[in-house]
Amino acid sequence: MADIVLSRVSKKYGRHVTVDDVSLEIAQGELVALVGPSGCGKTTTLRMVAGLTEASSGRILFGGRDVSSLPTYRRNTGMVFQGYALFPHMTVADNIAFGLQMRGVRAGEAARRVAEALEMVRLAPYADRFPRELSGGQQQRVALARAFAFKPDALLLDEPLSALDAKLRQQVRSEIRRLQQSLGLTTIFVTHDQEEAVSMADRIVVMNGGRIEQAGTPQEVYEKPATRFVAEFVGLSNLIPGTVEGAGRFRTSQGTVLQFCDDGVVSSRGHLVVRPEKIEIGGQAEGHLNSLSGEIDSIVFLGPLTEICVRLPGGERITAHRQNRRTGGAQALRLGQKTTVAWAPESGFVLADG
Amino acid sequence: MAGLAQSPPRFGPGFSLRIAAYFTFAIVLFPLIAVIWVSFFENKIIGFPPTGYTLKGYFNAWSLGRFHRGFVLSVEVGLMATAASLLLGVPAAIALARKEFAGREVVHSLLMSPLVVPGIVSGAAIYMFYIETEAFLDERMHVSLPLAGSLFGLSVAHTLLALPWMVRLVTASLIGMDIQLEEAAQSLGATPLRTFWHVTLPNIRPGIVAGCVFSFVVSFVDLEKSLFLVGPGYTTLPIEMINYLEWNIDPTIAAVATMQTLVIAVALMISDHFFNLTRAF
Amino acid sequence: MTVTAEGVSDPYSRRIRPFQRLKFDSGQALLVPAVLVVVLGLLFPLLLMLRYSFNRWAAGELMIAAFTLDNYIRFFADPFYIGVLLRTLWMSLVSTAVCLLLGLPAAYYLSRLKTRWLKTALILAIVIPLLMGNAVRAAGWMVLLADKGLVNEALIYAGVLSEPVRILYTGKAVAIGLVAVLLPFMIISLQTVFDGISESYEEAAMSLGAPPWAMFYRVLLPLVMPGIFSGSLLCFVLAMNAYATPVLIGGPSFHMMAPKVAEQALKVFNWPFAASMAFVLMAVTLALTVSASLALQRRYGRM
Repeated sequence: MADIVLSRVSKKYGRHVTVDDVSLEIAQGELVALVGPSGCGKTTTLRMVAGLTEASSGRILFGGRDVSSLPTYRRNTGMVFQGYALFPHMTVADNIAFGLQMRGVRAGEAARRVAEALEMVRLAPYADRFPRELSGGQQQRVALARAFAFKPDALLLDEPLSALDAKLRQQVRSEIRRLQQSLGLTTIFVTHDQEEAVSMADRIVVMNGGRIEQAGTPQEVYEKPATRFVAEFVGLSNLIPGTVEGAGRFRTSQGTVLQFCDDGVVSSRGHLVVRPEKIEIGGQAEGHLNSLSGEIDSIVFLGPLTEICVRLPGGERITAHRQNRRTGGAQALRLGQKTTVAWAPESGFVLADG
Repeated sequence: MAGLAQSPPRFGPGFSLRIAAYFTFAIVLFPLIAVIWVSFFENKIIGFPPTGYTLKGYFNAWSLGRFHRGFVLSVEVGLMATAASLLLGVPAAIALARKEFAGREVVHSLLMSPLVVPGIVSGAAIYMFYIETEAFLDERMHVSLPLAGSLFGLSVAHTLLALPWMVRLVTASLIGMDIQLEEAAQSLGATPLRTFWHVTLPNIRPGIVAGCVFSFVVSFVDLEKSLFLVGPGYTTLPIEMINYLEWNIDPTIAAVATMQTLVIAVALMISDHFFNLTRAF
Repeated sequence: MTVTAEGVSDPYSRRIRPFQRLKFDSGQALLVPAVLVVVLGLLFPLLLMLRYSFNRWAAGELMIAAFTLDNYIRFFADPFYIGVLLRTLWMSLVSTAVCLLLGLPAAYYLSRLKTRWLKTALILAIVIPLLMGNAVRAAGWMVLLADKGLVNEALIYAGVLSEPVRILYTGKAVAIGLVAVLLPFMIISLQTVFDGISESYEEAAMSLGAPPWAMFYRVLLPLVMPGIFSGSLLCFVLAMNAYATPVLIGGPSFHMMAPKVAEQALKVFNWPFAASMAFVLMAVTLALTVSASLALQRRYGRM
């Protein structure tokens, strides 16, 4: 078990820069999620940690040791590939034993550890099956067992859940988390699904265009996105354009003045950011709350909550999420109905332009 | 650093793999390069280093009638064999790829069988068959039909060489084609014949073209089978060449070989340009 | 008319049913011309030749109708001809083995190559020699391996040798020539299979700690086995049937089966003996390839 440090790591393919000067420190036993849209460099970064792709510049350290020039098979990382890459000609048990065999573990000891790993992923009866005989979820668990059986310094997961259906994904998410915590494995996992990242990780690293936009705990990244990109990528955001007019005062482009939680924003032009669940529809506009009026544009029932879009006089749309606490609660609203959207000043903050 | 082949050029397994691979490619290319080089030699008896370079070998080769005749015959036979294997092989491929019937595997093996019989053996066999048939027709039916040593006889023998390749390549193309295209055409009202003409044929064109190219090349370079079916003054180019080679090697024959290779390579590249051959593989 | 539990059954149904499997529709008619040509052009002549192999021969007469095993006995009783067969077998096995050893790295490299133009160039490099025909390729080796050939002259020039080493007209030279002729077939067979093996298996193996040799032996090799089988079988058959290479590179005193068959048919005009040799060659090749296929199938499972 070790901590991982990436120090100014870059990857260039000719002129194209896939990963741009990325620096990151991952504590021992921490689970860090690399999130971002396709092509943001998250998979390339993971592969550089694994040693499958050579970094163009920068250093990678495991527990203080520089592994940058070590080939993959000397790095002692356990990787779960997107397609699982289970060896089709070997049984489940042989697949899991592979990493142990490469490290010279004796047959008896290896068998014991394989059995242990199978127990942990609850696939003990499948030891002698072949990968093609297993379902997607089972294959995924075998891939996982194979990666941690030999107690690697780090566990690396490349979009491990993307091939699974929604329900299965939820189950496997918690399994991976449980496993990782009980084994204390330093883990990096890559995903394009921000919800997945938020629910599983100790820390999230949001990447875009080869750079880190923000790194922090899920709460930090969600409640206080550092850039507009993060605000829009992680969860939904309402962005109201306007100008800062002094401490805690924000004038929208329509002229309305709103209060917000002042973090010492210097620049004057920007967007006021409010998350949908922080917004109340209708009801009394209490004095200290920010309030805007508009018409209900759409009402979408999403099961646990209802998504309501309100069109403001200036043409902007505000999205609000309201919990369906009482059955039939959504029926009270009608399309075209005039209503107010309100939120507490502490729930909004400003992201500067530029 | 995916696999061994992508290793950066430092010494290690990736490097030695590269060396081994290029060594192998060199072995295959060596004779070709040697022949082309020799064709420009001045000295008639090949020795290294050459005394000089000249184009005399090429002039000489061009002036020798036997190579002209050989070339023309090889082309004629090649074209006839290709045409025949097209007419026989494409329908056969359709039946094999699109119809289910008992004994399909047997028929497939039968059509592929010429590939496993040695050229010498099938050549000898067909030669004996021709002689017998000629004698039979002559004695019993008083018909004189020359088979051995005739264009027809040679072409039939070469068709047998080409047919397996045509069937194999067109079948592969048919299987690889999305059958829903044919189903869509039929649901839109096209009869099987029209479906074939408007939908299937355009989609298997790469396979057909590849089949034609293979057929021609296989027929053109054939040596063993033609050995029995040629005669004095009536020989294919490869056999003319091996006859010449059994006595001497000189820049002339090297020039003939180079020219032959060039002609076929150019023909292939032209076909590739128009029909995009590489897609068939 | 028969009466059964279901009622009265049609008297014709018994007669129609057996023919139903032979039902012949227009689809299968498409096969008829091709099948006919193969039967008439290959099968029938082969059967004819088989029949001839049992005939007798006398110098001056092509054949005397008879039914005797003399030709086969002559072949197997003569140590010379047994030697020819064994030499052919040995050359084929050695060439195939060398082809495999050289073909594996080349095919793997070609399969994993990402630079398009280089890949096309290398594929052309191995395909274009096929357009030359075996006679010319053999001639190329003659030029290189002769006593005054390029190899000898270069080695003498470099001071490694003081006088030429005899390479041409030996078994070694024939082996080299065969390997060069067979390599393209082996490389293409292997490359096709390598293309189907996802690189993620290699990466997975390496990420689990396998150094390149272990990765090759434990992961790549088992997965490329089908290609090794088909490539080796193909090369072996081609080597057994080789004509131009042994004739030109081996010279008149190096005897292999296919040239001998041609010699007996075209120079000695002993058709029955030529026919019997032809069938011995085919039978031995067939027996070996079939038993190899069966043995390997049993060991590695269905391919």
